[in-house]
Amino acid sequence: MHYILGGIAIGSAVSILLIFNGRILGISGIIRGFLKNPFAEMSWRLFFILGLILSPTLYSKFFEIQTFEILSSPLKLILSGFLIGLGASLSNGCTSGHSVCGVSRLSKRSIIATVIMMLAAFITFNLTNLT
Amino acid sequence: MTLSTKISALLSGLIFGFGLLISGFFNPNSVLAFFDIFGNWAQGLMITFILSIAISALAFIYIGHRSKSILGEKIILPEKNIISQKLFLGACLFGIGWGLIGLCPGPALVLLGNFNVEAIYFFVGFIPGIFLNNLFNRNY
Repeated sequence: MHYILGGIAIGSAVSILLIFNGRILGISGIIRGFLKNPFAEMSWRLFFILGLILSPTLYSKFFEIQTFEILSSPLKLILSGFLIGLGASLSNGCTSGHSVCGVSRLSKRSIIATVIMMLAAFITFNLTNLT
Repeated sequence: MTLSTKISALLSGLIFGFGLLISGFFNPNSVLAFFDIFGNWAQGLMITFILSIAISALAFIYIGHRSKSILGEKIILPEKNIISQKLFLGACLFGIGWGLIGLCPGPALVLLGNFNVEAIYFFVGFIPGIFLNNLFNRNY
């Protein structure tokens, strides 16, 4: 059930930003655009990021947030973060921009990017977790 | 940039965050379990993906009939349609990083707001990563 509610919420967030702001919900592009020009204007990107960062605080007022331990080391997180940043920038999108927005508007680039991203993630996970 | 566009952007960010929180997408362990196709595959996130794509598709169809957004903003959609080596390379690098830690930029921002220190490490790598591409561009 929570998978369904989550999907509805994510789809609604994409729809709101598109229908009201005329913009694609692509996180890496939004972060990039924001950092390039953070305070020159009080941009929609700033408010979007603010909403996303505030979401756990608001959510926790009504529901419990699951607790968990992140097992990756700081070095692994930094290195992977770097690969993800460079990758998103080279391919002009990440999970939200390509796999949700791009696929839903049937962009050929995004469909290809999504297939490759997923395959690479599946292969990497399974190769690094051979037991 | 009117007040209403700021409010709708804030709302979109909040609801997006709620979606990541409810589905468990913000939890790297759930995402890694989704990658574990040969083990204990947790395929639930596929439902989240498909549903979010279906709803977004309706919004794209609707906006396709309009020349401006409801709030009068210009509609800005990506126009690139070249299948380049950069696209392949970028998607590969992204997938490798994602498969290693189970975290991508949206969930990382949620974790930042949830005061998980791991999100800071992620962004220490991510931010130089998104700007390194500018150096490549100069060579082309």
